[in-house]
Amino acid sequence: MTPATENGKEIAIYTEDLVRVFGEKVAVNHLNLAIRKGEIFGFLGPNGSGKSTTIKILCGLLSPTSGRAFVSDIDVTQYPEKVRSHIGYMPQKFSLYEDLTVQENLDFYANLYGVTGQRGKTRKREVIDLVGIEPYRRYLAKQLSGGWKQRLALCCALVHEPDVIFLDEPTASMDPVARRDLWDLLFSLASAGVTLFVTTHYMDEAERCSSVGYIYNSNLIVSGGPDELKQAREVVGSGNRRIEITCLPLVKTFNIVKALPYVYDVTIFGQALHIVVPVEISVQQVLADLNQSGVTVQSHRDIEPSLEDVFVELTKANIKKDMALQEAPAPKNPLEEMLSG
Amino acid sequence: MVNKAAKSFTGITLSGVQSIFRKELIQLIRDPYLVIFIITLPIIQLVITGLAISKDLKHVDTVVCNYDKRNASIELLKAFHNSTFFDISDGNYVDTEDDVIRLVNSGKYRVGVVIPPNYSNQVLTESEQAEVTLVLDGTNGSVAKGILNAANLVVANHARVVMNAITLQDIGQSSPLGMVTLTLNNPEMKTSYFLIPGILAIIMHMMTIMFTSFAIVREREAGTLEQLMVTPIRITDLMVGKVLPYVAIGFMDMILTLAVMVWFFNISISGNFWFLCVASIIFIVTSLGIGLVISTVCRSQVQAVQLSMFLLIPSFLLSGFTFPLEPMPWIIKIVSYALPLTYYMEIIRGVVIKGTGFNELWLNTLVLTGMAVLLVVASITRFKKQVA
Repeated sequence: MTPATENGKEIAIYTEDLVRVFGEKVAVNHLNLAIRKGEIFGFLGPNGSGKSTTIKILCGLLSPTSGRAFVSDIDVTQYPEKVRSHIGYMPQKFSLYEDLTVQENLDFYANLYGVTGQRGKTRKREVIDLVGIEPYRRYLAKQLSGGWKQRLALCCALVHEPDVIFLDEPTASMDPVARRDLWDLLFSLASAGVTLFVTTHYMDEAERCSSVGYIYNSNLIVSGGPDELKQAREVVGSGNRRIEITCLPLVKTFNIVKALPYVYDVTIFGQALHIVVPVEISVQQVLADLNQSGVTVQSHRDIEPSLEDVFVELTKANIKKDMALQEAPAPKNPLEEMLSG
Repeated sequence: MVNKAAKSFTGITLSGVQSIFRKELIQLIRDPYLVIFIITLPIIQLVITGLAISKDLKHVDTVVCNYDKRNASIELLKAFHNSTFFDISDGNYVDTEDDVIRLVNSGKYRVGVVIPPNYSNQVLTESEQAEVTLVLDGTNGSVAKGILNAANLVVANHARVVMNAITLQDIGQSSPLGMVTLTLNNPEMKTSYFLIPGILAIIMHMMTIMFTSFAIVREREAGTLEQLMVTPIRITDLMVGKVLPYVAIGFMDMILTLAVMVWFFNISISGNFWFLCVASIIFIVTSLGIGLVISTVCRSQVQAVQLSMFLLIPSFLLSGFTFPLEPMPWIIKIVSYALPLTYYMEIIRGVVIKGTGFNELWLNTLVLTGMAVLLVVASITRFKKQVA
């Protein structure tokens, strides 16, 4: 059965060699996850890498081709219907009834989950207050903005007090303020012991998760806490130095830096440039070379790689690997190869 | 680790059905256009198609060539004219049979009458049967048939008149003009009498299939079905709750169109109204079953329309609505008897026109019931498989 605890904390979501194949395409390839109770797990990766498929398997909407998955200690592959009263699901696309009011949507889902009578009344009041949707109770769902629609969806996903909530790109259609509000809400849920499984494309959101998994082309490449990932030298590539410089004019400098023979990568960040060079190259050398080209550097500092840097490099490395695989006869399972190597 | 045994996924609960039913009703009411559409469309369809085909043959302009020109033949032509089926004005006379054929062929007239030169002699002396030629434009078969029937009727009536007047003593003798078969159940030869109950059945069939197939496909398209499937709702509850409002609507439409038939087209129901109601509900559930099966196959509403059409067109053509079943080749008959509409067509025509009831139509009712059960079970099973 599942390991009930890990490091003294209960496990809420556990998968073992989970595989899902659509025709000839492998959507999820031997996925192993162990997510602790009360965690916010950020599930990242490019589009089409298998994030939504994984969520659908964990919700019991899709059956896996092989492997096992447990949510709240229930074997999802065996009892997909049992798991449903323990989970909430917020799909990528708004999936409530646009022609019902906020209150009617909530009533409908409360009834379906059997949250009725006095308990239903109290619970509905609780979730309405929690997401703060009270002023919009009588609005039709289609009259709400993107942010409020997501809050309503969360409201309905929460009405039966689930242990685990799956959120598939919950902030995709939101403005920054609504995004931050939603995340504050997710934190308060997590602190109440609810486990959150969130997919996102936003790196700032990923950095707020308590643990992160990165899936690329159906394979889980890395997982761990965001800080651990950033530290993972073998992931980012050891022997790199990251420098941030502020200078004028920015775009001209960008092109000059890019032309320097030893520069791995350069990115514009607001008024600054992030430059990646081999560790043998000193900061002084870079500054000298820039000076020679007529650039005045106003300030400079060494920086840590961001989570985005980590994932961009991971993706690049894997694309390179894919291309190499196409030439050479491919080993069966790139993930195993990576783990063993 | 040990979970309380979850409620079984199958079976049916009142609360589940109620939740879905209530939601479905609210959504229906929120869409006033749909409500208006549901109520008025069947009535408008019935009235329009009913009026279009109930225009029975009257005052058909008739071209005449009378080689005889004596009183007996003039009497016959008067009979034609007075029947109100045919119009023979002074300008309608031509000199030769060839002219008649030419004019009918050109489409100027739909029908022509040719009276042979020895007509009067033959009728008066009864030496042999007088043969009046009817020249008929067969382009539109049903019109031609109608005209032929009318002509037969006129000739038969006239023959009786002639016989009474001239050969009273030889009453047992064969008719001097020829016989006509009397049409049963439709003495006025009104095609509408026969067709309107059929149109009613087709409208019910079409509306119910379309609305139910939309009901589930719409949720699939909007993504709301996926959200529903992560709740503990039972699939039977979901299907029944979604479909019940449409049974109600279907039945309401049925009553409305029957009312139009009775009061607008003056076709009364000769048989048992309550038997018709029960049979209609069974037929509506069968149509619902088809709609549900379509909805488990289709991903979008466009697909649902296409597939419905694919099923509805053979229903129109092969259910006995357009063509009679008897002369069909056996292989087509198999298709005909696989269509629920065929059975209901016989029921509604039987009850409305002939006044038959359960005693004659029990087999049709039984087959429809079987089909309804089969289709509903099949759709639920299919749906479950897709979700699991």
